[in-house]
This record gives sequence, C-alpha cells and structure tokens, in this order.
Amino acid sequence: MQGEIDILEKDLVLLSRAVRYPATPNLATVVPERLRARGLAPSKLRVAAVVVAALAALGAGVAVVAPAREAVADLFDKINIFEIDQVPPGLTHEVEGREVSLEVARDALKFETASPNGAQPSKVLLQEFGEVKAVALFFDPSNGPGYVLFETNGRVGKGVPTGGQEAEFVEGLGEAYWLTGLRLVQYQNLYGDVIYESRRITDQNTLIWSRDGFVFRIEGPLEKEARDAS
Amino acid sequence: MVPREVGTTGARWVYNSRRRDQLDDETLIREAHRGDAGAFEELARRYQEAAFRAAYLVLRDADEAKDAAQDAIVKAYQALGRFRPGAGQSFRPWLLKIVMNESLNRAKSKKRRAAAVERAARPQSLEWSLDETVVDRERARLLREALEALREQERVLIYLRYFLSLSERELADYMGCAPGTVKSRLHRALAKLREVVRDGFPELLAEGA
Repeated sequence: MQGEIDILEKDLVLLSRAVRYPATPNLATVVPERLRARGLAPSKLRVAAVVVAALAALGAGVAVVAPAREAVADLFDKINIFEIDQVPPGLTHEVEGREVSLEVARDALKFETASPNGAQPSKVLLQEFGEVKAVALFFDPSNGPGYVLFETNGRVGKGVPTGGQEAEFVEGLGEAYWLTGLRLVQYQNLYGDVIYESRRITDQNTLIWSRDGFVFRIEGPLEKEARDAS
Repeated sequence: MVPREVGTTGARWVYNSRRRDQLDDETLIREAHRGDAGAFEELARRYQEAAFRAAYLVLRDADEAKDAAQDAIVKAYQALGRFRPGAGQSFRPWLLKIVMNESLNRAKSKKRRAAAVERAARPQSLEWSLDETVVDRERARLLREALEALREQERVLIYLRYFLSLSERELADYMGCAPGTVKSRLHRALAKLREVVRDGFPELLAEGA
C-alpha cells in the first residue's frame, strides 16, 4: 500500500509542477477599491466657514474656498490626511516629550516658533524623532479654553476614520484643514516614512496648516462659536 | 483603500511600499490593526499569488479565481481583528482558508446553477493548463479525475500540501489541529486517493507507468 501511495505522491508533485497558472492579477491594489465600493467611500470635503481664534491671533486670516479636491489633503507635501477604517486602539492620547524651555525648543527646532500674540506657553514639550523635531506649546488663556500649538519641521499625517467625520477645507496661510473626532496623528520623516513612535490619537478639534516649510496645528476644545466670534 | 492612504505623492508611496517589503508579517498585521494604510496592502501583495492560485485550483477559471481571491482578501481585511499572530497563527494559512471557503462556495453555487438549467450535474472537466513536458498528459488527466472523486476536504488538503506547498505547521494552522494530526489526515487523504485510483484508474499504479 505504501508503495502505491508513494507513486501517487510522486505523480501529485509532478502534476503540481505542471500546472500553468494564469498570471496573478494585481489584487493588492484592486481590493482597496472594492472596499470603497462596498460603502466605505471616503467622506467628501465640504465648503466650510472656519475661523479659528488662535489662528487669527497668529495673524492669519482664514477664508473659505471651494474644496475642488477629494477627501485628500496633501498640503505643500507636508500634511498628509489619510483614511483609516478604524482608529487604532491602544495608542495614547497623551502628548509626550521632554519638557524644556521655549528657548531650548527653538534652538532644537532651528526655526523661530510662533506664539499667538506673543503669549508665553505654560508648558513646552520637545519631541525628537531623529531629524524630525516638534514642539508642543501648551497655552492656558484666562479668557478661553486651553489648547496646544504644535510646530514641526517634519511631515504630519492625520488618519481620519472613513465616513466618520468630515474634514473641512479652509484657506488661510495657504491651505488648512479643520478636523474633529477621534483620529490618528503621526509624524513622517523627510522621506515620508511613518515614525511609529510618534503615533498617538486625539479627539481634540484641530486646525492644521503648513507655512514656510513647517507644519502647525492647534489642538483644543475650540468651538465653532468661538471661531466665529474671532 | 481602506485602510486607504490618500494625499501621498506617487514617489513617496513607492518609497513606503519598498520599506514595507522589509517588514515581517507580524509587524504588517500589527500596523494594519492600527490602521496603517499600506500595511494590509503589502500583505495582500505578498500573498496574492497564493490566494489566486488556490482559487484557481478550485474554480479552474482565471476570472472567477480573481473574483474569489479578491472577495476573500476583502473578507480577510474585515476579519483581521480575529487574527492572532501573537498566538502563533500564520497569515498565509489563515488567508488561504478564507480563499478556499470562498472558492468552494462559489464552486458549489456554480454547480447548483448548472443543475438549475438542467445541465449535467457531473463535475466540470478540469481546465488547468499543463506543461506536458513535465507530466504525461494522460496520467495527468487520470489523476485529476481521481482527485475530483475525493471528498472536498481531502482534495483541498492535497491542493494545500502538494500544489501550494504549505508546511505541516501551516496546515495545522489551517485546520486548527496539532501538527501530528496533519500527518494522519494527509495520510488518510492519500490512502483514499489510492482507493479511488485502484477502483477507477488502476493504470496509474502500474509499474513503470
């Protein structure tokens, strides 16, 4: 019996080698399209009148423009908004970094950090990911909610849940996006690779924009009423 | 793509893809869990050939195999939360199980449709294209017919082991059993094939054939 099984095994091996499979189609790129076709299409950007008080305080007028683009943000090759099916669990909300003085942060970043109306931050965290450096400036104004202003020389990625929210496209210092809801934040290096240790999640309302090769973003419980009032 | 990365320049995307090539499956799966746009795409790219070939072995039609493999990969993405690389699961057998299930379901539907229009209910003729410099055409035809006479789970096991070259460890993952059990099931499948051959295709066992 074993001898016959050996013959069959040998034939099976030969048959397997003889099968001429058709060329493998490119499934890896087609499948994401099918996922979208199944109702996971990205939310559309819409026109929105967004004026952020803190941005205005930085001297930027923000004007509404028609979003003649899809749910894509690739601002000056610095800000990359992409879609994710699920906001990753297990990441921290915390902004982590080394607490330093504003002067130390400015030296490390090698560019002049901006502060709304020249206000002094209550805390400064320096984040260093190799060549990519960022500073988180915490502000606690007496007449409004606290917020954090991030400034970096790196690229910033924002993962927004598919269909879960809308990104509002605004124009001020070039272009800017207003984001709400839970989402992923990550820095990318100069080549566009994700810096995984930089990843965190946030549910704070955010305005993100790019100017002079740097990326700025404000996170905080900023309300539409406050923005409109500015 | 969902996970979908948009807003990247083509050049940057190519760069990212190249870097992901260097990551192992476990890392890619972890990143896909976390929503990394390209990680699952890289996994799909890595195993699309195995997925397509598995579907083709069952369906024997390139277009149907493509559809089945695509649907299976979409299902795998949606089920990724249930995949447990930390528990020793391997991605390839996990994906191939989804592909096989999808392909077998499609094959059954096809057979039902054929019966509904009162076509012969006999198994379809095999349409694998063969390199006849590697195997004798008549022996190949007989062996394929013998394989068709096996039960579905026996035939699939043979496809996985001999045609898709899954290791015993991967087969254990696929079947959800111990590696030792794989040996005995494989042996039973071959013994069953021997029975079928002895009854219907004895020339396959002839000496010097």
